[in-house]
Amino acid sequence: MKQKERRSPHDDPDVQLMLRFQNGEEGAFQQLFNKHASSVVNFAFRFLGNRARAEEIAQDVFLQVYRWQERYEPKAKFSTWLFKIANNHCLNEVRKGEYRVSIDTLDQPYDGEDEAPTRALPDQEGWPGDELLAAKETADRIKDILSRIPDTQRTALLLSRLEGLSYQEVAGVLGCTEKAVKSLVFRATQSLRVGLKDILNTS
Amino acid sequence: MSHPLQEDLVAYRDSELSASKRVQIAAHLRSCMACTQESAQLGRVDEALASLERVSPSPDFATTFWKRLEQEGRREPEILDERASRWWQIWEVEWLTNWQIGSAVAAAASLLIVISYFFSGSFISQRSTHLTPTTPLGEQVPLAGQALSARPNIPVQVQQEPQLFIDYAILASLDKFSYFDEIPTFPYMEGIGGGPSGLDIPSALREDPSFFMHYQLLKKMEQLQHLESVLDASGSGGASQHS
Repeated sequence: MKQKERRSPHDDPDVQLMLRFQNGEEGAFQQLFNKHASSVVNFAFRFLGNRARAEEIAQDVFLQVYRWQERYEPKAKFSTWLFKIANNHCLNEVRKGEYRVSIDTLDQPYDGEDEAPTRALPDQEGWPGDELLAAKETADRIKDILSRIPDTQRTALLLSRLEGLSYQEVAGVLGCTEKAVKSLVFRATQSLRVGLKDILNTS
Repeated sequence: MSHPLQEDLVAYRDSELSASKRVQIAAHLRSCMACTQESAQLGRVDEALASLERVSPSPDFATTFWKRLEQEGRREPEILDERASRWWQIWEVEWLTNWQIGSAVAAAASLLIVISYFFSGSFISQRSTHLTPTTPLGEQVPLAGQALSARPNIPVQVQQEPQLFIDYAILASLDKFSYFDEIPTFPYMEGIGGGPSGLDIPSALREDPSFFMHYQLLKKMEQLQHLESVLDASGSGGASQHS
């Protein structure tokens, strides 16, 4: 099973980095930032569907990690703690009600000030046009489904399937049992399956 | 083996089942065409999900972050009381998100109003004469006031209202918890405060379903958005039992 064995948080090298940061080693925080920034941005982007906001959220998350320097106590893997903070920030954002989770489609211009974002569809450049269109349609459909399923299902699915967290770790993020995570992932998968039915049947 | 549950099939594909269950399902898949097709369909869902583009942080992401850190990140929030601050920040990180802070304050305020009402004396005069706590089985529970009467430092009103005292103990101990889930396991189950000066709670009272009524209210805080909701929650959660 995926990382099923119950290990002490202290066995996690990232926890060790956080403890070194706690002891005043700023470079340890920088390592954590460099290692996890992309994952947090991706999680927030898929959760919110808005890239610019996702980056702001990711920065907020790391600011909070930084501020936690003195009070940090390792109770779980670092990534579990990090995504717990990220998930809370994303939920905040959604519940503010200032905007609905939007679909940031591939052909929408990047709303940041600098150069366009780097997107990475697998082997995108060599694809025939119709396959690229089909991939885009699938991606848009998935984002639409993700924006409609309950927050907990979305979090469970994104973390377990796309960020590689075990059910046990996802349970730590959501504050629920592994059994509940299993159910959440199943229901999210079913929603995808139903929503993508026509695409899956023709592929 | 009969067909596995779809939920188990998804967990199987995620390598999240126990070894014995994995072996069972693997054997079943070798002999069941329907489940093999089902698994293949789930595989196509996985592939579709995996095809989602993975974004890279924009080029100025790190620069902006370090700039923000320099400007605002190193600044600690104002600390009025270290212990209160620690508790608050645990809430902030672990439980409360910004939208919930308002409701938490509202809930705390309503809780204080309820408690103030208890202390006013009018409530006790109305209730203490006719209300005796009971266990879920309807057995009479000895009033904690009787058990605590030998302790002169406890206000009379509190002694006469055992439920209030227990709830007060929870509130007074909040800073000792990191998680709400720790509340039921806190040592005051073995005696309020858990320390040498802890006060005994009658065992029958511990079985009282309303023992954790404020725990229920606290648990609901994270789901509440309006004061009305807090009051609704206190109505259903047990706080309004006193009114």
